[in-house]
Amino acid sequence: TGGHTTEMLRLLSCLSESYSPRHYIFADSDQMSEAKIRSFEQKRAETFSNSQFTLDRIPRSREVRQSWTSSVVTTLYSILYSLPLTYKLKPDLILCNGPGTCVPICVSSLLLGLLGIKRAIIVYVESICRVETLSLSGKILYYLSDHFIVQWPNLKEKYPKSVYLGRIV
Amino acid sequence: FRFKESLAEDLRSADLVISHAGAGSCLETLEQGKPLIVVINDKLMNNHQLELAKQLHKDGYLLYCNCSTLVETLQSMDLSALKPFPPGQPEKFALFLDEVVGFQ
Repeated sequence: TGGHTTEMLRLLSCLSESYSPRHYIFADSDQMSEAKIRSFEQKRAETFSNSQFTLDRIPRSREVRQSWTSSVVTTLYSILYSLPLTYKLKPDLILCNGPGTCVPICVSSLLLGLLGIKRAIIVYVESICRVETLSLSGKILYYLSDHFIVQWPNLKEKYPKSVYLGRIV
Repeated sequence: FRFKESLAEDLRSADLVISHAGAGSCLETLEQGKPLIVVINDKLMNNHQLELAKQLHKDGYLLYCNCSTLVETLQSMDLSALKPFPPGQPEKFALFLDEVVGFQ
């Protein structure tokens, strides 16, 4: 969604073309991200001729301030939905930065890894907005990701297994 | 206007920006090198968005106040005391990722 997409595209801005094809996954309720992504990829195609990317939508796992019990149900539904998608894409690397959308994808990926089908490296970058506290997705993925990046030193202190590279967006 | 796709043009021609504490608004404004006053909505105090505005204020990049102190802030502000906002460094992320993945 919105700010997450903008941050994600900034994170991608310096990646080499080895990171290809790129599969973007975002919430079905998201109106604006598609346009931002297409615009980013269009610019990229001007420099890299063989640029490839796809777009997929999954049901949103949780609305802002949605209650706990209903969040569990909607997240489970999103996980069920994401499993076949993750299986189809079989990513080598998953980059996520905080929207609820990332949890079902990462959980699906972990399941596929456990089943011996495909193991992906999961890299999570917490939003620049998070200075003192982690987002809910961050709190979950701190334990599930392979690399967890924060953008403020206070968070590095509170979450010692995280990586601090300074401000990267 | 209620909604525009990009505020970049408006930002470029502004001399001072007064905004809510949304991260996108703060960052976009600071990156354009415009002085920024963030107005905080007291009723949304639990909003985590405040974290960023507070930190940026602590680091000297913007001024902040609430609705009732806005006029006072405008009258007594010293914009020259605000520090220029350095750009983020996504290249550091790219380097880190290359190492993680094993690209040389």
